[in-house]
Amino acid sequence: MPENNTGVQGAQGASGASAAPGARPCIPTTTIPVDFRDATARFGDWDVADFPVGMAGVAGNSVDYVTGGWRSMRPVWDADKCKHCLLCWVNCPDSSITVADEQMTGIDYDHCKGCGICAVECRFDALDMRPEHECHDEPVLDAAAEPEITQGA
Amino acid sequence: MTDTTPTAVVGAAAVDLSAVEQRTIASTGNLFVAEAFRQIDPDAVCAYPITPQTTIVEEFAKFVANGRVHTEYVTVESEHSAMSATIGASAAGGRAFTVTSSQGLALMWEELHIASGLRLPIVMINANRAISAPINIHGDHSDVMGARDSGWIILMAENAQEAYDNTIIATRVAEAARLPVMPTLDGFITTHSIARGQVADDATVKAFVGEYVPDDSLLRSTSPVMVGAFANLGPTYMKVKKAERDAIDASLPIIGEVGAQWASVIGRDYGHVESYGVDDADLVVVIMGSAAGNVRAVVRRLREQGQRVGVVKVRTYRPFPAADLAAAVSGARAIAVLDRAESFGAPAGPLALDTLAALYGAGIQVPVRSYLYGLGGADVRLDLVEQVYADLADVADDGDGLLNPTPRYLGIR
Ligand code: SF4
Ligand code: SF4
Repeated sequence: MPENNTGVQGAQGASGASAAPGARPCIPTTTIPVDFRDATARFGDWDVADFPVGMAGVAGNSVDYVTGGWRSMRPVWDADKCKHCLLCWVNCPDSSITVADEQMTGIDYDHCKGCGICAVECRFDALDMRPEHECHDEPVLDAAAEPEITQGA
Repeated sequence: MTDTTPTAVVGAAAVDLSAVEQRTIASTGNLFVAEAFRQIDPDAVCAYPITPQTTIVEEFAKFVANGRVHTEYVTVESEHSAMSATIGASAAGGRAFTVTSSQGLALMWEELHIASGLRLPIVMINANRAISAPINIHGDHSDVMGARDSGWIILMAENAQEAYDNTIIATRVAEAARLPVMPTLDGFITTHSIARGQVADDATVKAFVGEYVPDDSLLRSTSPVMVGAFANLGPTYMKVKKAERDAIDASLPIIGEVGAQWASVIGRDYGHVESYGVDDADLVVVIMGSAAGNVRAVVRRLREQGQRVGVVKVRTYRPFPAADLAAAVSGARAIAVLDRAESFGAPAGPLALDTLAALYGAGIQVPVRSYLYGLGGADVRLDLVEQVYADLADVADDGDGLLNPTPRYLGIR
C-alpha cells in the first residue's frame, strides 16, 4: 500500500502463517480499504498487490461524485407551502432531500436524479417537477443559431 | 499420489482432537449437506428451491423453524435474488450460504462474477444437474461447467460423505482465500440416494470452522466500507482481475491445508486428486463426481484379471490441480478423460481440455481420448467403462493420434 494513501482503516487479517490457533487468517493481500476521494491515492500507478481485497473502499465517497447530471426533470421546492413532514426525505431513493434540525432545507441537485418520487409523495403541493431546461439560467440552444450541417465534401 | 504439501497458509483449527466424536448415519447426500449447514450455523442462508437441491433448503428450513440455528433465513423469488441477497449478507459481514442447481445456477451467472470479483467468502452448494433444452432434471455437470470460469473455487464430491466434508472445508477455505466456494454433489445419484457416512459432533464442527470475523464490512459502524467500486479507466480493472487470479491460484495450497486439517480431525483424507491403481497402470481414466465409483469398481475387476489399469478422480476442480493430476497419470501409456458435460465445438470435453493442458505443461505426450458420458443422468454402466479401457488398450498399442478428433459419446452410437 503506497504511503500517500490516507484514509486507511483497521488493517487486520493479513498475517498469514503467524495466525494463532483458531484465528481467521487471510491470504497475503492487503485488506485496507482505500479512500477513493483521496487525490493523492494514485491507484492507477499501483501494483496488483497494492489493491485492497475486492477493491473495497472507504464508504461515503459518492458525496463528492456528481451524479445528478442526467436529470431531465427537476423537483422545485416551495418553502412557503412546505410543512416539513419529511415524507419526501423518507422516500427519496438518492438521499437528495437536505434536512437540518428536522426541517427540510432544500434539494441536493448534485445527486437528485429527477425521478419525481418526492413530488408524488408530498401531500402539500410543495414540490413541483419542472423540465430541467426551464430551470437553467443560460438560455437553451437557439435552433436558428445552430450552424448548418452539410453533407459530403 | 497427491502433491498437497501443507505450507502453513492458514491458521490451525481450534479443535480438541481428544473430544471428537463421529456418528455413522444413513442419509441422502442432501441431508448430509443440511446437517453440515446446521452445524456450521451460518449467519445468513438466502435460497430458492430447485430440484434436486430442494431437500437441502427444506431440511434447513426445519432447523430454522425449530430454533436449532441462529441463521437469518431469507426466502427469495428467484436464484438471481438468492445470490444477490447472499452477496449483500456477505458484504455486510455475515457468513452467508446458499444452495442451487441447474437453471438456478445459470440464472445466477452475473451474480457469480460479482461474488468473486468482490472477493466475498460465500459458500454455495450446487446439486449438479443437466441444463435445458431439452428439459431434464437429472445429474450431470452441465451447470457447473457454466460457472467454471466465474472465479469460484469448485469442489466436486463423489458421494454424500465428501459432500458433507467439502461443505465444512469450504467454509474455512472461502474465508482464508477470500473467494466464494462451490462444493457440488451429483444430482439424484448423490443428492437423493441414501448412503452411509459419518458426521462429526457439533462442537467439533463449530470449533473447526471457528467464528467468522470479516476483514471489512458494510455494517461495521466504526469503519464502513464501500463495495462495488468503478474501475473503468486505465489498467485498474485488469490489475484487480490479476489479484483475483493470484488469489484463486493461491487457494490451492489453502484447500490442501484445510483439507488436511479436517482429515486429521475425522480421519478421511482430502486430496485434490484421488488415485486408484495408477502406480503401475498403462491405461488411466480421469473422471469427476459420482461415477468415479463405477470406474473404480471396473478397475478393481480388471486388475484382478491382471490388467494394468487405474483411475484418477479430480476433487478440486477450480483451481485446477494440474501438477497433482500430471504426477498421478505420468506413467500412463494412454489416458481417457470422461466428461459429464459438453463444451460444444471445443476439441474435447471440459475436463479433457484441463487434462491436456496439465499434460502439456508437464511435458507428457501420451494419447488422450475424450469421452462424454451420463448426460442428463444417463446410466454409467460398468460394461461402458470396460469398453473405455478396451479402447484405451487399442490406442496404447497402435497410437493412432494423440487426441480423438471429436469427443466420443459413451453408449451412444
Ligand atoms: S413532503 Fe412536501 S411538505 Fe413534506 S417535507 Fe417534503 S416538501 Fe415539505
Ligand atoms: S426527484 Fe427523486 S431523486 Fe430527486 S429529490 Fe425527488 S425523490 Fe429524490
